[in-house]
Amino acid sequence: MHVPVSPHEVIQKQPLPHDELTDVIKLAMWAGQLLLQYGADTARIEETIHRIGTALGCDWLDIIILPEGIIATTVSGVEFRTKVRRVVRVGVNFSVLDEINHLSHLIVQGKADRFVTRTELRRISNAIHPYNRWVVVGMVGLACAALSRLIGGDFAVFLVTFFASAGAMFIRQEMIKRHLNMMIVVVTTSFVAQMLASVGLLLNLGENPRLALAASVLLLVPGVPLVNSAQDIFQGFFTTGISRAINGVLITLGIAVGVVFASSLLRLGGY
Amino acid sequence: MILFTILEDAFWSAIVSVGFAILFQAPPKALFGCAVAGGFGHAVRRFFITLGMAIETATFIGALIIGFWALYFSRRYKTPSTIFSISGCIPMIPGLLAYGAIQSLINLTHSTPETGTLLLYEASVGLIRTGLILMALTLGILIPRLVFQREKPVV
Repeated sequence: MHVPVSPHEVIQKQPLPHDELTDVIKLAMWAGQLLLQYGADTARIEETIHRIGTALGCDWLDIIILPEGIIATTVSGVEFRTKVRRVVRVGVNFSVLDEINHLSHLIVQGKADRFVTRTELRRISNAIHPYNRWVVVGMVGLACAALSRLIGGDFAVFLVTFFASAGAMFIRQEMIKRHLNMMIVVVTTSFVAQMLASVGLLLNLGENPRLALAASVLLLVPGVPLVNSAQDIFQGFFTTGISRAINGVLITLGIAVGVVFASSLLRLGGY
Repeated sequence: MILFTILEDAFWSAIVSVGFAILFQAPPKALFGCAVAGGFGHAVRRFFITLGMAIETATFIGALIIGFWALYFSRRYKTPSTIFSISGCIPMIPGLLAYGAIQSLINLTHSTPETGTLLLYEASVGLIRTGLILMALTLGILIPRLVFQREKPVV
């Protein structure tokens, strides 16, 4: 596959007709939109859009990725098309990133044309979820319980953490399903996790019941925004990098607000 | 005895990594890689801490290991390496430190000058250490990728 190194290089491609060019920019930006929605880093988004566009017959693409959307121009011969796509961030889904990665390789190898690409993208955008919600609830509870073991909790703390974070995860899913504001979801989830974990404190279960309080809110840690933000900033994508860092810091503050609220309630009970 | 502690550590952190990979809806084929990366990284960190190394440095080394495992699994399963590195680094998040620092900050609001000095000290040390560990963690998992996963730039 020939990838042009600059827009001024002499290109041996047949110029695309105007309607085909429209189609190519639509498909390439659709893939980019899914990546931005589900938590890919900016370099990956830009490269994927560029690969798909050039593999489907364009000479060159200019892409700007913003936290709120994507702007791209495709060039083919003397024709060009520019499009803006608004993107709303909906969460993290690594399966979508994996599928788009696979699809972009198929396109580059010439195994998928525009029509196959459209069918595949439609399938991927009908949100792929390999695990049902109860598996997620159980595994998140288990993960936080295992974290409580890592910070030195005993078996009682393990059980309390399991039920606290599984319950908090259930509440979080219910709130996300009802499209509540992201910050309200974070604060409420953290508060619920604290209140459930404080049962261990009230009944004085285990050697150090406070460990359950610390471990049960960890299901909210903004790992994806923070790591992506560091990577974006390292690679020179400052706009998306800084906006993701602010997102991560806000989530962390939201966790802290839930913790503070719960602990001031508990103090009323003398704990 | 040390070996047993480290193996137990690896076991629990592998469970943490798989749990968070499922929360992030990682493809099922990637779960094994997440478990290996997370388990290895945290066990290596525990090993260096038992040898007496500072937790920040040990975290950096553990995170580097996770970064290299993520590159290996990303090539083997042909999937983005972020899936493995982000899920793998979750066990090393300094949750207890951050939690303690926040508790000290809250208690600061109703303290006397005598007790307040200690609380302020605890809170600032906790926050600084949390920040340093988080930085070591992100740098550690990014460096292998930035150094060894350079493709010919297409843009």
